Amino acid sequence: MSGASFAPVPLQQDSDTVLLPERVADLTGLGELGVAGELVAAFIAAFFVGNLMLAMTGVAGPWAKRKITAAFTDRIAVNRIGPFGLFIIVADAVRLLSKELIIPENADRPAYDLAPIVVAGSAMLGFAVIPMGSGIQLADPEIGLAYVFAVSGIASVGLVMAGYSSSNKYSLLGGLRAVAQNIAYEIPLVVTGMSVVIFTGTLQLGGIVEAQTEPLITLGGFAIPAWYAFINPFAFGLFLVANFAEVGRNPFDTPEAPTEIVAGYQTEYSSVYFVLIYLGEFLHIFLGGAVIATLFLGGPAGPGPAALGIVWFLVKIWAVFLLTQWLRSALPRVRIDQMIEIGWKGMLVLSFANLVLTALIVGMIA
Amino acid sequence: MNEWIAIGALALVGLLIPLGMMAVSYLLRPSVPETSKRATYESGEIPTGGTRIRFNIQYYMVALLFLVFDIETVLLFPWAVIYRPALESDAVTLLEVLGPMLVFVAILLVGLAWAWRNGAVQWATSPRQVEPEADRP
Repeated sequence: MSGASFAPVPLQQDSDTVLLPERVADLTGLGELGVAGELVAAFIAAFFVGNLMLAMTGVAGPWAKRKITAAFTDRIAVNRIGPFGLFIIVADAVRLLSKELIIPENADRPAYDLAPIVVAGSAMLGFAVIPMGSGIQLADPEIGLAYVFAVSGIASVGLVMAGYSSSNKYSLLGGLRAVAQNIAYEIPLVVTGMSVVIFTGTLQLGGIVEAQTEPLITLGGFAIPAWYAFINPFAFGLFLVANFAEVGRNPFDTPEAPTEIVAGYQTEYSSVYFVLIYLGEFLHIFLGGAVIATLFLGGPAGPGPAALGIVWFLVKIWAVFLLTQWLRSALPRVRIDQMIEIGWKGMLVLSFANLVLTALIVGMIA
Repeated sequence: MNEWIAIGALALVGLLIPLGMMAVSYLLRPSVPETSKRATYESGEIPTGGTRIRFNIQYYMVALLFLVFDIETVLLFPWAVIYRPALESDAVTLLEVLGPMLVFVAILLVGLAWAWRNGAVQWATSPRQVEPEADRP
């Protein structure tokens, strides 16, 4: 730097948005009780957000996934219990939780038991900073985006624990594949996310959403918002692909390829442990959808009053979920060697090209 | 209110939900121990050998490569955050703020090219797989 100083970037940006814990504290009067009241309010808010996402996975796992796959393959799927077969969610929850827990001999006990908790719990963490609209956001720290990428990486540890401790050859191979895939696509994912940060100049997710509220162009009285999916469609595509690999969905479901290694890292898991790993995977798909919505699709933005934000947010994350199920029905699985080569030779180079080009374009405009 | 309290609260919820489900399952599920029910699953065959098998060296290679690039992304984050505000303040030129990053990325891309040339990102195949079909016994 040539001695000249530019205005320091404020670390904590002033924002007039009220976060959910504060709102809960105000509504219930817990805020007047000091630190203990704040802790309780934060817990209530976190409990709400956690159960909201749990409900999403509850609908997605036992019901929506089957219905969508059935629609793609011209079948009917669950339709016996309740309207549209919706009560299968309750039936399946009871059925799965009341299964006998069979723990394989030679399993490494602490790791084998901890892995499902790590997988399910870590997937929940990312939702803390996602702005879901209608004032539903637990926290908005200035390092928001880095935080999301960091906590979503914890799941890899859980998958390796599951794969190694099951003492099963399929599980070991599945765990190795899972971590190889997660690390290969983590870099393109983060670098592509960084190309959005170049536009916004902040990692705060609330700030990133705010930066997308301006209309980009108006076509025939219809304003197209400045979502980064429209500003930089190339980055959007890259991020989508990297995200599908990161959550291990088709065409990148090599870690649990049923025709090769049975079920990968979850081969030896049964009963509630299986439910937890399955839950963690679905939470990850929705977390991926939430990050895509926040970075590229304007977060909770949409037509209508701002109070509808949560609806638009849910529509967007369900659209991403639908896309994963569509790809599941439409695309073949890549082989493990293709997976490594697509990641390191293709996605990595393309994501850096995207980063440098974005930096150049922003440099020209600014 | 400190925001990290809420994040910690969600971490607690993320721990309590799995534990709660495990507790419910513990109350509901039966336990019917039978011989060889707990045997390692190997597609219905009698399991052979241990699990600590040899696996492809490739997993180790990509993990090493990942370390390099992951540290790089960490170093790029602060740059990405200040890039636009720095340019808009007109205190620095484009070259001053973009140049060092380009050099930094270029060094890493040279590293990737080197790893690529040495086959670190090429899936390692065993000699048996490389042999043509006809030569196999």
